[in-house]
Amino acid sequence: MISELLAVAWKDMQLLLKDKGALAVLFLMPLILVPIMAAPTATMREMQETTPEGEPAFNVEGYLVNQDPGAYAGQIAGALQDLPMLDLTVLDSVEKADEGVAAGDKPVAIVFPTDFSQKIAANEPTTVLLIADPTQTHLVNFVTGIVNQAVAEVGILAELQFGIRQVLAQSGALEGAGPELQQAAEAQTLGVIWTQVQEMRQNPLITVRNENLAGDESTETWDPFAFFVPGSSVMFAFFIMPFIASALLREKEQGSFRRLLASPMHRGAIIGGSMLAYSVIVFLQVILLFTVGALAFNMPLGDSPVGLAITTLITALAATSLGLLLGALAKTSKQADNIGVIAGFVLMFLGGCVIPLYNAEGFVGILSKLTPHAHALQAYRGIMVDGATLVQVLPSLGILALFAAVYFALAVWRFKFE
Amino acid sequence: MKILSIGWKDIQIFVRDRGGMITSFLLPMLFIVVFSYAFSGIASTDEVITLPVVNLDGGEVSAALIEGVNNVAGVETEMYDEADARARIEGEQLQYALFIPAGFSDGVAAGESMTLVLLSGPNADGANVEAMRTVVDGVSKDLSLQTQLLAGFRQMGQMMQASEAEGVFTSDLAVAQAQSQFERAKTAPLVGIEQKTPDAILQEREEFSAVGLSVPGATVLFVFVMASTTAMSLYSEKKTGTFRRLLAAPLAKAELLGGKMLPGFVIILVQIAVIFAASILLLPLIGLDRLYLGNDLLGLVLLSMLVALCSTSLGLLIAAIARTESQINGISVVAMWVMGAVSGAFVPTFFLGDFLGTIGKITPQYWAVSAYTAFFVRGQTLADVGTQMAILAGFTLVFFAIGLWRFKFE
Repeated sequence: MISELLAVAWKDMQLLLKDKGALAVLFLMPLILVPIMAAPTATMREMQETTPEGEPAFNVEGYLVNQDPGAYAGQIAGALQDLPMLDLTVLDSVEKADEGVAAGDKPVAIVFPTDFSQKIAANEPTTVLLIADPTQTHLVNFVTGIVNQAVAEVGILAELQFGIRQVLAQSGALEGAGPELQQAAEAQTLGVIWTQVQEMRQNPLITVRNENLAGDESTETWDPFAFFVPGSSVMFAFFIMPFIASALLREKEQGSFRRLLASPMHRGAIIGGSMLAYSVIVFLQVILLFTVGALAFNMPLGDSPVGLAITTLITALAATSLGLLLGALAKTSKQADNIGVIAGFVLMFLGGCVIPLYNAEGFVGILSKLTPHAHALQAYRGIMVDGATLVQVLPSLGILALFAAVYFALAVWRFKFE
Repeated sequence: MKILSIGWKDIQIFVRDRGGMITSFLLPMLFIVVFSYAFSGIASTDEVITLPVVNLDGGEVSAALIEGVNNVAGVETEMYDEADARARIEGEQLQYALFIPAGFSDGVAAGESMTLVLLSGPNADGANVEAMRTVVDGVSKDLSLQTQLLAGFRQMGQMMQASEAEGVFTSDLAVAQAQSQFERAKTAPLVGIEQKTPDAILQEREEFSAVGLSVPGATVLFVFVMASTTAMSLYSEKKTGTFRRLLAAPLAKAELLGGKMLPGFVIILVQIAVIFAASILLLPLIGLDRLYLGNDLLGLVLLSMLVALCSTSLGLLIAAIARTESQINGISVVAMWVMGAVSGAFVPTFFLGDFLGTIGKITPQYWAVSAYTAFFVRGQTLADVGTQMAILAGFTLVFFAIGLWRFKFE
């Protein structure tokens, strides 16, 4: 029985290895797509990187329109123009800036309204307008963060200036004094308080600390590869479905099964052999992706290689069992191919390979957890990202194994050799 | 007429091919739905994120902190008791929660350094946790500064009283003035930021829709995946010897190829029309926005014809250079997906970084996505997408010329 099973597996492996198209889809495609899928997160991380001088290493272009004749807008605009991470083109009209952003020439325009300084001097709230390209929100958010810092600085200074002026006026201490003396007193008081304010801002009374459940300060940064490599591995592991199903049905269509059944070969060996061959393919797929992820992109693998191996094994069994079930239910190899492709995509999205839908609350979360993908991903990410052990991911693996068992039982029950 | 009859036969074959129909019509819609939801998260400005809070303090400063966080646009606090919050974090029902320690208000009032803890669980996304920490940090820094300033003013008053100095600074007045300004700042900061979408993009619409971003990508991705189908159709005619037999008929080679390319071209046009129609009619049924086609329907039709022609020419090129069926079914399919991915079909190209973003620009898909986005998102017209059209036409000519040169009929 074992030797028969191995013989069938070897035959299927040879057939698959000769099919360069299948190899390209199963091995080349995930290898190329993973870095592309991870690129957005890597770019977002790059936006947060700083130079040795502590300034952002990223650079964003934008427009600057200053309609305010007063000093405050000029002060903020000047500070923004001096920043190396902003490359601002000065325009004289809001319409031109609006059109430029709308055309996608620059992602953002910073506009100071005409009454900006006037309102600040009167201690009335005012706003800086950001005209933002909705297709480039992350560049816009980057600029918003910078402008926020710049206006906060001027905002505090202006609040202090206004407060000092009010207090001096109310106290009557400078009654009858000339404007120059009043200005000097205001400036002197501002100087003293501003120095203290700067010290206070350097040493705030309240700090916020990130902590995990173990009580450690969690400083781990989000690793896009630890998300996308398991995501892609699970996604492509289940794309084995149409391959195994259509291969089985082709054998049936060509009458190979009928001939095999005439031989003293056990039926289980025929099914088991195919399953073994395709499970090996899934295993190789995962090993390839994880090796490239770890070597080329420093992807964390966690502390449990045994856990990873067992997760991969059960994922492979679940994927190939689902392929068998598809082969048992479909009428033709063409139909199996079509259903397999569409099921692969639907389960991929629903199972959380692209967006972790299994973490979502409500109906979407429940629906996601009804896919084997969600449990395979939770096990992989538990081990790789959270440093979980095999025992800790056993609940996910148990459910995944249950999926595999149910698929297999249904497939064996429904499969017709002739 | 001869071309039309060859073309009609191929269209009938395609219509009977369920796999082809699924790849051409159903999968693009699946991608559009998923990516519209994903992009609506990116593009949305009114999404509210909940911050679970455990307040073990109950004093004035913690109340001010919670009020401050609630005043931040897009953030809303939700109160939990300690045991419940911990259990939910451990059970992965909550990603994180803010813990305000007992004695927090008294400590801050006494000028002591206090630490707030943002506790995160195993399913927490590090980027979300850090974003929330930044929000709380911003509010607590303002609160710190206000508390320190008031304490400073009071201290200054006491020092002046003790030294009996006659200064211009009056402590009580300063404290009252500061408190009135802090009170006003609760509703709106003195200098805020207002963000808006350009009028030229909004046109008459109230807000920008993420559907305008996802439809071009998915459409172009699957239109170019069709190049492999066109190639396969050409290749199988060669393989089965139909071309050899047809060459014996009084048909020019160009007519033969034209006839074979015409159905691909028509099917792609139908594919584009179905995707756009479904995006207008069906997406609103599942809570997404309807696709806005822009201001230049004629331009959109011309662009779609050029994109269809480009994909069909690429199909001819693939059929001309591929040696086996598996090269077409495997390698060219992989190539189409990869080209689609680097061209901005999944995510906007600026996300892809310099290297991949530059590679993307040497694919026809990039220019097609860019032109469709110009119509759907930016409301531009044919005159604005001249560069994209010219480059797409260039790709089409090159693909067709090389395809025609290299194609062997036998």
